[in-house]
Amino acid sequence: MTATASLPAGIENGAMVGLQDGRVLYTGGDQGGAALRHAWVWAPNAPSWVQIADMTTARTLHTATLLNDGRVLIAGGFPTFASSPPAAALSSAELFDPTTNSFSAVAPMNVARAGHTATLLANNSVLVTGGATQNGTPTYLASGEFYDPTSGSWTLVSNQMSVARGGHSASLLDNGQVLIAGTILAFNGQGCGNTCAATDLYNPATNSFSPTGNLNTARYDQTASVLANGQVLVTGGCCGTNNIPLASAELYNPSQGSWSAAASLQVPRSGHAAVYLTDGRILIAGGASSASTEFYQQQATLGSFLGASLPAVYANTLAVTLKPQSSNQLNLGVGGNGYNFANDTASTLRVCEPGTTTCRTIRAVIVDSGSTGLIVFASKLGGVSLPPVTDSNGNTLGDCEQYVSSSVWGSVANADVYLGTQKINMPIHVLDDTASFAPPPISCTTSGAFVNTPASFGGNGLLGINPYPNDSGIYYSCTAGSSGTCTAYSPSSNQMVSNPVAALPVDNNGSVVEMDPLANANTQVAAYGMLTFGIGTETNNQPPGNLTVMQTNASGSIAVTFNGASYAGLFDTGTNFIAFLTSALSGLPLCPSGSPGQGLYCPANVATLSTINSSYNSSAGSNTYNFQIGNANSLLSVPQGQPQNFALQTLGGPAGGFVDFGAPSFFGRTIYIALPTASVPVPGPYCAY
Amino acid sequence: MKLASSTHRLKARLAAGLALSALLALAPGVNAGLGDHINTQQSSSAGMLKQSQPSYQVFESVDSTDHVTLDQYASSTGTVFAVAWRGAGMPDLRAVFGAYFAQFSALRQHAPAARHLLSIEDPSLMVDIHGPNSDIIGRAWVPALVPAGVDVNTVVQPPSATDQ
Repeated sequence: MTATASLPAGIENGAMVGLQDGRVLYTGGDQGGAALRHAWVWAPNAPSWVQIADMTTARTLHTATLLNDGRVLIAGGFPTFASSPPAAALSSAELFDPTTNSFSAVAPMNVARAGHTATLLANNSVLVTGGATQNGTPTYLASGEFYDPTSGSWTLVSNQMSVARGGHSASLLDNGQVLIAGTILAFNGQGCGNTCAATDLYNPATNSFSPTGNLNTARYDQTASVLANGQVLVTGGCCGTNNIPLASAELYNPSQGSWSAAASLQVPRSGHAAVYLTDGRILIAGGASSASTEFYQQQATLGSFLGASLPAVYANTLAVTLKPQSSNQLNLGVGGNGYNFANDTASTLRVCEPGTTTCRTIRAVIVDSGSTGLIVFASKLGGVSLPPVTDSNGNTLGDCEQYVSSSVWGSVANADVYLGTQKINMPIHVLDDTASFAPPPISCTTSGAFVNTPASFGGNGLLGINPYPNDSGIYYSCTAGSSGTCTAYSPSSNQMVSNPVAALPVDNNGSVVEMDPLANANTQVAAYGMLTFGIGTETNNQPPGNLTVMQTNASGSIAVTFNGASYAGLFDTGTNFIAFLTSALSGLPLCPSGSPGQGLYCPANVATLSTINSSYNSSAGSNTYNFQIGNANSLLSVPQGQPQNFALQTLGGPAGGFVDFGAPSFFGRTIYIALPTASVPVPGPYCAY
Repeated sequence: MKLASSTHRLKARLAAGLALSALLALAPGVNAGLGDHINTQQSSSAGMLKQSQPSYQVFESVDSTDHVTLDQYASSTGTVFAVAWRGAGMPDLRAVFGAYFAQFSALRQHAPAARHLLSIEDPSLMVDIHGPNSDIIGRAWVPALVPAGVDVNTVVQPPSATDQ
């Protein structure tokens, strides 16, 4: 990581926020007791802090919140850190415009507050809650209000939270509501007892708070992160016995409205920070009593905190720095998405109502080079209402997307989709909208596994980057409502869930998947990489001179020759293992029936195999391709006293008359998947490495 | 970790005996699944005779809904012993597997979950389906129903892409 020039020494309590263009904005804070009006930006390509125009007001312990439109709302704070005499909190607010790098005042809050929370809602409004009215001997607030950038006004929430709060957290849930937890009144038994453990939900639809489950341990100065599966992870905070920071962590389950214990932090922390990285890890850093960092690894049951005191081999794994994304890039993570599938390759993107700033960030989106189109589960779009794609009668199109062994069902809707900072507008597939869309035709649910929930699907959506132009789903026209009925329908091409890569404004001729190599005998807790759009269109996607290029058919398939016989093959980020022919053809024994690896290969020793890969219909691009398949039972076992490995380089199984170079094949490689529109080094479609 | 499913073993062999109970002789391509009998004298728009051999005939049809091209391999007595298909998406496997669908469903629970392939090698039912969503190729046969002398692994090939 590049060293960055420092901010001026001694600044504390400023508010920092990442901008949509990759820059970071730092505002205000205090220095020697005096609050600052100053602001700085940090750019990844010129890593030093550059002071920009001042804010309209000096402030510290304020908030800075990135809006969906790219602006930043600055609100409240104290005009000075000095508390003698006590200083009243500020009600003023201002907006930062990233195009001019300047601030302008907006309407003040109804209630002056500092040390409050500020949370962006789906509709681009910002909810602020709680905070202190003055320093010195502060009084804390139980009120909340929201700022609507469209009207430019603040509106009070119609009622109060269960308890006055400071040092609390507020988290936007998948359903569009906000979970508020923690209060500084818990410090040293200030007499709030059980009330200190109370948590509240804010419902934007009713503009009101309502109580939900109590924390198991009252706390404040904790972190709160919404996981890919929709649960909220709260870590650490203050305080245990003798005011020692807490190591305990808790998970909030929105569907149950209750809290349960999570794994504990490796190091007790309070006043620390947690950042959800775009590859699925949650970085937890600093806080009282520790300068160390650790990562939370999301898993289906209980996740694990990794890094602070793990064996060196895991520390090595986690030392990988998140790669900065360029405008044509998405970070990839394997095993960090909270669903319990090995080698599940996933990323993060943003979906908005077309032409608006009403948006949700969708995490744990599987990247699949074996299918085309964008799929998102309706349950992850809380607060976003996408216009349906309809037929001439106004009926909504339904779409049954069939994989070989599973299928999904949902409506087709129009969306603005941000892949990194690039926006596309196209029909997407919205799954499992049981509240407002027709149930699936029976034929969509009976052929294979019907995986119409995030947990059974293995992610919150899917980004299909196959060269084929559309999702090749079976389309229907469906009457309105949750009991609507569907009849077969032949969509026009602009009604179909189509190729998201081709729809990009630029960098739209293919994609490049680059995964970091694994260490540790080819197994790791997780793995990380980068998805880059375009081939030969930017400095970051230029194919090297020694690229091996295999022409594919329209669906991305190549030819694979093994022991003199030729088979169809596919480099496939969406299949979790290397699927190679049959046990008889490969010579690899299947795992014993009833063992964890049943149905996969279980050679006694790691087998090294070699194929000749070439173009789909010719020997052009012939190359010798070596790979290994290990013992699935060994790979799937959980190491004693260690976290489970999710990145498994040599996991293999049978595929019949087919070779599927699945997700593990990408570890340590850079693989080009070209659309027909690619032109370098040869016309697409092709697969190359 | 979900990769190798290992449940639902009980149903595995329930359906094997049902195949021979099919009494109706169906036009090829019309609701005729594995183990069903089809009228090999009748060729319709739903199932054109593609190939005729002494011990078996191949009828080909294209489904109007899913546009999948399906080949049915019928013995000289009209029993469908094998199927092969190719298309963007999947055919209705309930129809394709006919009386063997329950057995197929049970056996597939033992196969690792994979988006783009499914391989079942069981003495009672062989299944091989694979490919990206826009070009899925499948074939399946019931070893017990294969006519003597037919090398099914060689004979049963998916329709070519140009058939689509």
